[in-house]
Amino acid sequence: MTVHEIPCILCPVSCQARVEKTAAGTILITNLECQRGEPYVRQELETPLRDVFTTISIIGADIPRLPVRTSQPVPKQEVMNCMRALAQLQVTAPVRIGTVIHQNLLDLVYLPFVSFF
Amino acid sequence: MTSIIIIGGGIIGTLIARELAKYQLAVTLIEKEVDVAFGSTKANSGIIHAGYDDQPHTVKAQLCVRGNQLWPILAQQLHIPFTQPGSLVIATSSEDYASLEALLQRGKQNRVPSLQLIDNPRILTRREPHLTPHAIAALYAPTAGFTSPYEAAIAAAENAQANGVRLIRGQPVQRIIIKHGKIAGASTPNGFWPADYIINTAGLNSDTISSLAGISSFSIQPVKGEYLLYDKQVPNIVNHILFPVPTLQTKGIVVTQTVHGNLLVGPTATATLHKHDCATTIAGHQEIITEATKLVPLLNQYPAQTIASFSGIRAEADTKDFIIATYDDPYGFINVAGIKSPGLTAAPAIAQQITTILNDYIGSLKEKERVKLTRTPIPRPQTTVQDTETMKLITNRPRFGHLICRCEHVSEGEVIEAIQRGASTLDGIKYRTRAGMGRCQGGFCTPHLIQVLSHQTGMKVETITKRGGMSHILSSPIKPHWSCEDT
Amino acid sequence: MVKNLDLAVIGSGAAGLAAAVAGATAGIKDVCIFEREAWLGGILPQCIHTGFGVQYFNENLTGPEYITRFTEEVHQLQIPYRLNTLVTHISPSKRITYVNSEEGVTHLQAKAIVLAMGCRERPRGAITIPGDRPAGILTAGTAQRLLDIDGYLPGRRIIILGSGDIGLIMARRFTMEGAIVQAVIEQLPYPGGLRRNIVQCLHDFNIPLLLNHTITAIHGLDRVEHIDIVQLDSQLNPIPNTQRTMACDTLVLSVGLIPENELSYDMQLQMSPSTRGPWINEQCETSKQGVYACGNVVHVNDLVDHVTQSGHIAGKVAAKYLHKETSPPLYHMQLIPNQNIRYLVPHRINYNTPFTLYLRVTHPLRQATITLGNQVIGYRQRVTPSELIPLSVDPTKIIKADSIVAAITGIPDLR
Repeated sequence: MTVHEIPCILCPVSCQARVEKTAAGTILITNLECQRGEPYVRQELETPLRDVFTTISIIGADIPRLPVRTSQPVPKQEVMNCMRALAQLQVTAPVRIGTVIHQNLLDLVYLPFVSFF
Repeated sequence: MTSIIIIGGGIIGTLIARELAKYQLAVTLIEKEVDVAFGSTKANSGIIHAGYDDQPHTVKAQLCVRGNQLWPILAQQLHIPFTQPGSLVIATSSEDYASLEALLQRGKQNRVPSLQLIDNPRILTRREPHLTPHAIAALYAPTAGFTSPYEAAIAAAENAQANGVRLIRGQPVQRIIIKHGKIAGASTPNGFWPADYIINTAGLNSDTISSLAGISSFSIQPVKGEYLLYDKQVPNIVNHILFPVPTLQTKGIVVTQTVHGNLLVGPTATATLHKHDCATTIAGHQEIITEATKLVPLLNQYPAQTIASFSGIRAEADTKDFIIATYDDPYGFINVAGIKSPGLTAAPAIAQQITTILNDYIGSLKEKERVKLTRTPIPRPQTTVQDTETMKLITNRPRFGHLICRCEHVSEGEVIEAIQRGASTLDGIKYRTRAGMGRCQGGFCTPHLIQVLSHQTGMKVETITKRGGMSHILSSPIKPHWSCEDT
Repeated sequence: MVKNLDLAVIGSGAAGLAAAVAGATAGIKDVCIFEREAWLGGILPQCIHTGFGVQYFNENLTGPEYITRFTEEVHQLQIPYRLNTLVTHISPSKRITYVNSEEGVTHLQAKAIVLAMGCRERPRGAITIPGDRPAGILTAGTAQRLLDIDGYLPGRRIIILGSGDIGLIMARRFTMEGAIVQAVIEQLPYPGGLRRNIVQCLHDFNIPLLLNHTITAIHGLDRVEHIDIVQLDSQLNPIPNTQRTMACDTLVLSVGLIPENELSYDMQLQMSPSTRGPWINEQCETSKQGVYACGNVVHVNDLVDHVTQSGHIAGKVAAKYLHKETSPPLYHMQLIPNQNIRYLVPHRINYNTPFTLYLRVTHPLRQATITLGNQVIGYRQRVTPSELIPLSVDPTKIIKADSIVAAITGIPDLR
C-alpha cells in the first residue's frame, strides 16, 4: 500500500488529502473537510486537468490582444501544446464575450473556447 | 567659419555649447550615449555650492564662486527649477567648530558673499527645528542652492540647438585626427567630423579622449557616490542644505530637499575600480543612514519611505583640481577634465572661460546677430487647481489633459513633446518630464510611455530601451516566436 | 461655479463597480465613476487567468469575464462614468478635482464619495535592493499588463522575487508563453500566496521555490545579467557562505501591494497604520461623514469576491446617506488585534447589523480559535498569512466596550 498527500485547492482551506492506494488498486481518500474535495482529488490522481488561458491576435479592435480561455479544463500535459496551437490563431473584431472561437483544438480534446470583449 | 567640436554632452559640454552658440562659430556637440546628461550629470545632488570648500587660488575655487553667481540668471533663461535656500555646515564638537572657522576664512578668501558663523544653538534650532540637538554651531552660506542638473543640461542642449549647434548623439568619438600638429577633427562610427578646435568635456572618459589627442598627462579616478531618495510624503524636515564638516576628500553626506520636493540624502565617496560601476551597496546605504541621522535624527523614522537608491560617479582627476588646459601640440585641443564637485556649480563659469580661451585663440569672437537666450520649457499643466494657462493648453492640445504618470501627474502631451524634443528612451522621457520618478517608480506609467513612444516614433515596442544600447524593456512579442518555430 | 455631484466613485475596479451598481440600484441617479485608464475594470482586464468568482458566482471565471458581469450592469443601469480621468485631489470638504482631455481641470463638490482606488505595487527603490540599475527589472503587475494586455514578454530567463499571488500567477503566465522562470525567491519559510497557486503555478511547471532566500544584489550593465542570492536564517539574517549567483535576464518583483491612499491623506481621513489605509467600520464608513472606502484601498484582499462584497456595502450605505436614511452609530468599539493578527478589517464596530470580519495572521497556525471580545467567532484547522480569513460577526452577541480585543490562538504551523 502506498500513501501520499495531495493538496486540495478548491477553496482556501487547502486540505491535505491523504491518498492510500492498496495493492488491489483501490484508492482511499481521507482528511478532506467537505464533499467537493474527493472528486477533485480523484481527477488529479487519474488525469489532472487545467484551464488554459492566453491572449490571441485580434484585428480591428481597440485593445491590442484578445483574452481567451478553454471552456473546460484540459489534461495538464496538453497545456503547452494548446499554447503552441494558439499561436496561429487570429480573429477580427468585434468579438462578444462568450463567443466560441475555436473548437476541437489539437484533435485530442474537444473543447470550445470562450472569449472576452 | 571656425568649427568647434565638443566631446561629451553632460552639464559642462552642453553649457559650453550653449555659450559658444552665441558666436559665429560652427559648433558640433558629440555625445556617445543616445541622449545628453546620461552620465554623471544625471546622478549627483544638484547642489549649487557657495564656494567656501575649495582651496583658495585653485581653478575650482574661482570658478565655483563665479558659477554660483551665474546660476540664477541661467535658470531663469533656461526655465529650469532653481532654489536658493542657503546651506548650513553643522559643527557638533570643538574640532568641528575650528573647522568651521577655517572654512569661514577660506570662504572669505574665495570671496563668498555673506558667510556667517552662527554659534547660538537656539538660533539654529529655530531655523532648523529637526537639526540634531548636538549641533553647537553652523556656517551659514546664503548663496547655496540647488537645481535639477539633468534638466539644466537638456535645456542647455535645446537652447544650443535653437541657436545653430549641431547635436550628435549615440556616437562615441573613436579617433582624433591631427594634421601637422593641429587639430583637424574627430571620427565616430558614422564618419569624420572636421574641426579647428576640440573641447574635451567627456567626464569619466575625458582621460581616454585626451589620450586620443596624444595627451596623457592625467588620469580619471572614478569615485562613486551613493544616494537615497525619499517619497514626497516624507515631510519637509530641512529648510537649508545641511552639510557635515567636510573631509579632505569630500563635502560629506548631505541632507537636502531636491528642487522637486523629495528628501535626498548622500553622497558617499568610495573609489571604484571601474568607471561604470554604478552599483549601490549595502555598506553605502548604511553609511548614508548613519551619517545623515547624525545631522537629522528624525530620518530614522522613515526607512520604509525611500523610493530610490542610486549612485553617480565623480570624474576625479589625479591632479586634484579642475583641468582646463590648452596645448601647443596638438594646437586647438582644449581639455576640460576632472570636473567633479563643484563642477555643476562652476559649469556656467567654465563655459565663459572656454569662450575667453577661444577668443584668445581666434582673435575676436563675433557675436551672432540673432541669439535666443531663453528656452521655453515643455508646458506643464496645473493639475490640482484651475488655471487659465492650463485651460488654454488643454483646449488647444487635449493630450495635455490625459495624465499618464499618476505619481507626478505628467500628461501624455508632455511626453509627446519630450519625444519631439529628442527623447528616444524611457530615461530620456523621464528626465524631461519626471514620468517614472514618483513613488511607484514607473509601475503605472511604463506601459503607457512605451505605447506613446512607439506610436510617436514608429519604433517597435520590443526595440524600446531604458537608456539606449541593449537596455531593452521587453524581449519579444508573445506567440510569434512559436509561429517561427513551426515553419 | 462648482458643480455638485451626489455620489462620486473613485476607481472602476471590482470595488468601484460594485459600489456604483449598489448605489444606482438603490436609486442614486446623480453618480459618476472616475477611472484613470481607458477602460472600466481596474486590474481585472489584465488578469486573464481563471479562479475568479468561485464564491460570488459559483463559477470559475477569468478576470475579464468576472468584471464584465459588472460593466454590463453599469451599462444597463446607465451609470455615468469618465475614463482617462485622474482624480488629482479631494479636499477635506469633499471637493473633487479631476483632470481629463475633454474638460481640463475640473472641481466638483461631492455629497458622498466612495474611495475604491485599489493598490499600487512596491517598487525596487522602496526595498533598496543593492546593485546596478539595468533594464529588465519590473514589478509583477506591470509585467502582467505588458504581457496580458499588450502581448509582450519582459524577458526569456526570469527570476521572480516574492511568492505572493501576483508573482506566482506571473510565473505560470511567463512559462505558458514560452519563457523560462528560473526560480521564485521568498525570504520567509513559507510561501506568500494561496495554496492553489503554489500547486498550479509552480508545481505544475516545475518552477523551484527557494524559501528562506533573498536577493543581495542585481548585476547587469544594460540589462539584468545575474543576481546574487543568499539563504536566510529564522531571524531573516543572511547565513554566511550560502551566497550564490543565478543568471537571468529579467527580475520580476512581487514584494507587496500598497493601498493607493494619496487622496485619503488629502482628505485628512484618519488612517490605520496596520492596513496603511483609512480606518473603516463595518459599513465601510471612514472617519469622515459621507466618505466610504472599500476594496483594496482599505486593505489587500486575496479574493475579488470579497472586494465585490465590500464595494456593494459601501454603495448601499452611501445611498442611504444620500437618502438621509442613515442612523447614528450605536457604539464606538475599536477592534484591537492580538499579537498573532497582522491586521483586521473593519477597524471599528458602530452598529448592530451582522457583518464579515476579515483578518490576516502574522504566521501560520494550526487548530486556531478566533475570538472577538467574549465571543468565539471561528475555528480553523489551518491558517496562513497568505489567506485572508473571513468571519461572520453578530455584534448583538458581543459585550460592548470601547476596545474589543480580537484574538487568534493556535499551534504554530511550520510546514
